[in-house]
Amino acid sequence: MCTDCGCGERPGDPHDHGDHDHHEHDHHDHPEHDHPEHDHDHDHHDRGRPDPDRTLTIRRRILQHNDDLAAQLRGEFAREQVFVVNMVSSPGSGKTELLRRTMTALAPDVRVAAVTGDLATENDADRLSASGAPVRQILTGTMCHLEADMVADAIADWNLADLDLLFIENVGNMVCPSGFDLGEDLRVMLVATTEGEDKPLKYPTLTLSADVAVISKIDLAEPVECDVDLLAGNLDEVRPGIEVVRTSAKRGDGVDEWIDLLRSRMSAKAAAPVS
Amino acid sequence: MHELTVAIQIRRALEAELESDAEQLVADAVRIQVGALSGVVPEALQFAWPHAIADSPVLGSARLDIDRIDVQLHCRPCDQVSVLSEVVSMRCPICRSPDVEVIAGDELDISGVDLRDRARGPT
Repeated sequence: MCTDCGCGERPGDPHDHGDHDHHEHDHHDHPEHDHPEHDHDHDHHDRGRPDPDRTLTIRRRILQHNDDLAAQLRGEFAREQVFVVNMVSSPGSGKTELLRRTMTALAPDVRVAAVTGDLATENDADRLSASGAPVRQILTGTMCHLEADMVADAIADWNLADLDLLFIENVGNMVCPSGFDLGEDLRVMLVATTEGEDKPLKYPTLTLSADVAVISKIDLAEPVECDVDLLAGNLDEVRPGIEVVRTSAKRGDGVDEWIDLLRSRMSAKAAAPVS
Repeated sequence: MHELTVAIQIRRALEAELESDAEQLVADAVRIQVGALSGVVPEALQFAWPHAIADSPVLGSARLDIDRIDVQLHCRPCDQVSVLSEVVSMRCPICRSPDVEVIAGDELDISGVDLRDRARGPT
């Protein structure tokens, strides 16, 4: 169980059958371990009742339900030409302050909005609303990450045609969000200089899932004796070639570079044919 | 990651799958594949499993068999496949090239379930 929060089930999720094949087999005495060889294909794609005392082979991704919803969202975002950025990091790495500054800078010419996830309080939504952009707070209660259906619910009454750019500020957590696709175009991982140079090595799964990395709070690198080059090198070690932007949302360092990156990614999406 | 949610998703998927047979069948074991890149900790999932299935008519007594899958990288420049014992870098361990493809290790899949007639006791 997630040790960050011990989060539980949310009611009302529909079941999803996804894509799978049934193959009936004659394994009466199934041993106590896994056999990849059970996966051989048979010709009888019988979707009827499985016989008792049989092994039912199923090919199904466990998070298929979320993946399907994320794909649906991605399709809607593509149709309406909305560029979507999922921001992931530890709690306190500076996601909200960077977003507040970014949204304020972009608001004059980019139609930007944000949804922000937290277990409790509307504080982040209040801070982001200062940019003048539409903002929704997702209160996750005990959940330690956002899932696609929570994003879909949060934006259900927004007209996507009125937006160019949507930020999704995930719940601060370096573990749980990695496996949950939200339909985003870009997953951005923040690491603050205060978190230590080895953070990407400690959390390789999230690092590997990121498209871009932001090193935040570089104004604090010197007082906390963070070697920013080493931190950037560790990001590149886990995720070779990842684009890294060094920022201080407080002082303003790197913010223009970060905004240029967003603009160029948005242009690239706008130029790409809609599938 | 979020192992209780994962356990609940497994339960939901299988209960939907077996819905029409729930009165006749009971599951003895559920088999899943968990890759080292999936973000799921097998021990934590094993811990969450009994809580996720406790009141399930079909799965309530099912064992969870977890097949752990190591990361395998195929390096394009040197055309070698390497198995990573731990995930610290996505470079080829032989030539250090970052030009690799993950050919195994990102699995988070249900692979099968062992069923028996409800009228019969556990085997």
